[in-house]
Amino acid sequence: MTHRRFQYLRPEDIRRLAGFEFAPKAVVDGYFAGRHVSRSRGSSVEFRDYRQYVPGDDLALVDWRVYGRTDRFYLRTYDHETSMDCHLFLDSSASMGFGKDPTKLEYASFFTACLAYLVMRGGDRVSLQIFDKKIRTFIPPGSTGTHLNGLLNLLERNQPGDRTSLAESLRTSFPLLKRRGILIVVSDFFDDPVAIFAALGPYLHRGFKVFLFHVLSPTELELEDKGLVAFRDMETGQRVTAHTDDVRAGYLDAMGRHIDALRDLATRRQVDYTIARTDTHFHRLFERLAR
Amino acid sequence: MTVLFLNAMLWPLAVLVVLPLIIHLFARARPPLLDFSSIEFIQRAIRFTQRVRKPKDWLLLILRTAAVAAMILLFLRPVMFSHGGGGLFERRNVVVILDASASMGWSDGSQTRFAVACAEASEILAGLSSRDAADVILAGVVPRAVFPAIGGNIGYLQGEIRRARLTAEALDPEAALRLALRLLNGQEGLKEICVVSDFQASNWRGIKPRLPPDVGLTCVNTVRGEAPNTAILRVEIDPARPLPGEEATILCDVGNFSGTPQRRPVVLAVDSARTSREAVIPAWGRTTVLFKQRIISASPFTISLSLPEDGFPGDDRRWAVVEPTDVLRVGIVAFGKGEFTAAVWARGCRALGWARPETLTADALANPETRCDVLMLSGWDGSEPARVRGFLERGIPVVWSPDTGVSLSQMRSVLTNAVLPAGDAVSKTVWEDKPESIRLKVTSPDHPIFRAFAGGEFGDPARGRVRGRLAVTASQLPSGEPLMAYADGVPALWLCKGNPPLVLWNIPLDKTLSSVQNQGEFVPFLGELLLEVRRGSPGAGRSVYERVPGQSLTWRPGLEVRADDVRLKGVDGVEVPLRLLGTDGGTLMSERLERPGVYDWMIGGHAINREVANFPVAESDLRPMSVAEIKGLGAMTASSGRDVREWQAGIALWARLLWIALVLLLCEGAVAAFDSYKRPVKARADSGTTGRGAA
Repeated sequence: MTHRRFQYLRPEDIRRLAGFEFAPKAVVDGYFAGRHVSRSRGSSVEFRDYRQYVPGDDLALVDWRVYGRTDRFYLRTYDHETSMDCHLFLDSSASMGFGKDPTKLEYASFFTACLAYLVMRGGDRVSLQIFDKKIRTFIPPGSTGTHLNGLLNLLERNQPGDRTSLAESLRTSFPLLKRRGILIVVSDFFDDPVAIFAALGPYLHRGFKVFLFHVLSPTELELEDKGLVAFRDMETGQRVTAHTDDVRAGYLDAMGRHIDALRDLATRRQVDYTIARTDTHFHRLFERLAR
Repeated sequence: MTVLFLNAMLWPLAVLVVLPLIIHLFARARPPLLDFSSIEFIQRAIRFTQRVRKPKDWLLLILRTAAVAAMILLFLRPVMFSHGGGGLFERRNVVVILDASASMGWSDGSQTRFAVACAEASEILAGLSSRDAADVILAGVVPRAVFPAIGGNIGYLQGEIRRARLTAEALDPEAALRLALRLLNGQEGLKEICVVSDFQASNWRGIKPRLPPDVGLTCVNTVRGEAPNTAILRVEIDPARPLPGEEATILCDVGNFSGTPQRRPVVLAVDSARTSREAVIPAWGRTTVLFKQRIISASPFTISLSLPEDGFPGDDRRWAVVEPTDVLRVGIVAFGKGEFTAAVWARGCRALGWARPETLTADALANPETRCDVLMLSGWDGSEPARVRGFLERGIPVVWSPDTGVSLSQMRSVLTNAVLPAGDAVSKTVWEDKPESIRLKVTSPDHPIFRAFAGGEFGDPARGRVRGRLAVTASQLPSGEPLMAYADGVPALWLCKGNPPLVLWNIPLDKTLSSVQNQGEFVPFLGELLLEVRRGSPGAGRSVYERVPGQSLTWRPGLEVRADDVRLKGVDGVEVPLRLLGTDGGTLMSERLERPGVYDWMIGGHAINREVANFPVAESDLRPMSVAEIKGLGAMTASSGRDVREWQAGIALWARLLWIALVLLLCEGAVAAFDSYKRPVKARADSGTTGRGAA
């Protein structure tokens, strides 16, 4: 599909993705006939149900066998298969710059690039929003190779920015998404879990299938022993001095509570939530999305 | 309490005590910078753990500072003095009073109190330096100092302590303290008296040592646990000098000095004959065991009473020498009109055969050397009652026929020297003639005096009539009981309470006034009276005169015997050295007796006189004084000689400081490690997903 070597979509990744097909079970709206089930009824081979004939209906859809048995007109209806829009939300706040080989942002960019490739290879459309405390860049849905090039170029140019405000970004971007589809958020979720899910509410209400990928480095999950250190917040610049041995238990407890809160809310709202450790290969994340 | 530092020049090291604080502050000031994705959770952790961390940090800082302080002090080599102090730089004069009394012989099965005391005393002396001086007093009845004056040869003193032997003596604490003060008097430097004793309450209670303010007193108590003991406390012969053929009563007091009742057999040994009685002794009480012994002849013989041996065998046996008399010496004193009565008494005594009347003058009453077994006073007006009271106090019973006009107060003052009411002084006895003779009657027929007359073969002791008497009533007489009375109730023979008794004789024996002396029953009655008044009531008899270890025996052999021929053979045939007293030239005196037992004065291989020395009664009750009572002596109390040594020589604290430092460091490590063990790290954020399927 592409001949140029991109940083976040390497040939070896493309080869490994050959065995994957992006097909989450989601009901979508679409302009073009495709592989995904649409809520609108249409012409396909997938029978849906019967309904009574009303004037104006196409007579070709009348089930004459039923008429022969019941002396009443009933129409056979079929599901309309359509193409899918996949909306990628990539967190580019300063905290995503944490970590080494790779940073959380690099890891997220790898995942996003491969995901975009996988979606477009299936003939579906993909959009990308890069945000920190607000939406920095929005690439509308598209499914062409040019669209993928532009998306990959954008990822390569992307740098960690300001503070995280995922809830605000989600609220802002909701009007931009014309059709429902799949919403994939890749972030470190350093925001209030309740506010995040409050912002996701309109999407879920509209029928979006939401996937949350929580990118965390091993250091964040385990808080390695560094002795007495001055921690500097990468987003606010604030400093606090503590001994890692002293605060480890409390930190892990607080982090655990945050993750538990996200997980509980996701379970309640039927949102798919996955922790993405940067020391594991991002291909494993596709197992949550591909079939 | 004083603390001295032997390496005082190292005091500048004390500034190192702030090292942990400096390290603490320094470590906090320059921590490496670490960019972190979000410190929100770290801040939450700090808020959560601050309540725990802060005290923990402070505790760690305190522990580290204390450990460093302990190590610094360790190098300063501190020495602590509990009292006084300055013992390192001043000469010390120490007198150790080592209790060598009999009670120190109690053994708990492994060693005696005396062995413990010797070890403690030696330990105290070992704590003295070469410039110090000391002396040891072996305390008993008479305290004996090893050195006549306090000296510096500590090794010799320790050797004397090793060679010291336990005595069977009683302890005289005040004499020992007086001797110690005399030894310390005039010495320069610190003065201390260390008493190593069991602080037996029977010896020490009530002692108030008056020590000068510059003399310290330290008490080392050697008592370890309780010391139950049973002992024979007293042996009495009743009467004290029985007649041949008479049945004497041997009374034996057995004491139980333990909290549980005891049942012990008491064995009486007379020559080779043995008689046993079982004694049941209440807890912390005593009981009296009676033996009857028929006196065969007038020869003296020795008896011993013994108990089965216990943990304190010294007091399980006592001896007594029974000295029968072949005649009863009756001292008769006639005053004024009393000569008729005295003559009848003397005639009656002579008729008895075994009683020998000895006519005494009134002046002989004032002589304490006057010897008799019964004193009979006829017509005495009660003047100078102290002279007669002296006889009663020496255990000699008195029969008194009062003169007319004796006041009632004089009668009573014979028995007691108490001041009597003024009304009694004017209440005098008066003579009452009876134109019609009056009869006598026995008012206490059950009294032992009348036992012989109970069968009737000796007649009626009250036979005879009287035509005059002293008009007294029972209420006017000293408390007692009437033995005989006149038909109208006036007492004729009145036995006053007391031991020995005073018998008031109100029966005229003048032939013009009475026919009693002419009756055949008179002589037997007089004999029974003389025999019975010598007997005390059980438990209140007269003690046999005895010596105790620590005392000396004296004997005057007589002019016909050369002093060099006399020997004193002691226990197990050991000869006791004798010396001639210089005062009269004829009296021999022995060295102090070391052991209880029988001692024989020998001339030419024959025992001429026998004496016994018995275990001192005060030493049998092994209960010690309480710690509070010992402190009441104004003394420091110690449980061992090591304590005293440390008080005197100071306690070297560096070894303890090393331990303290190690313990503090261990505690610091434990506190530091505690948190990581206390809260296991929750690893719930490592993986896991949820979603519609999971929901």
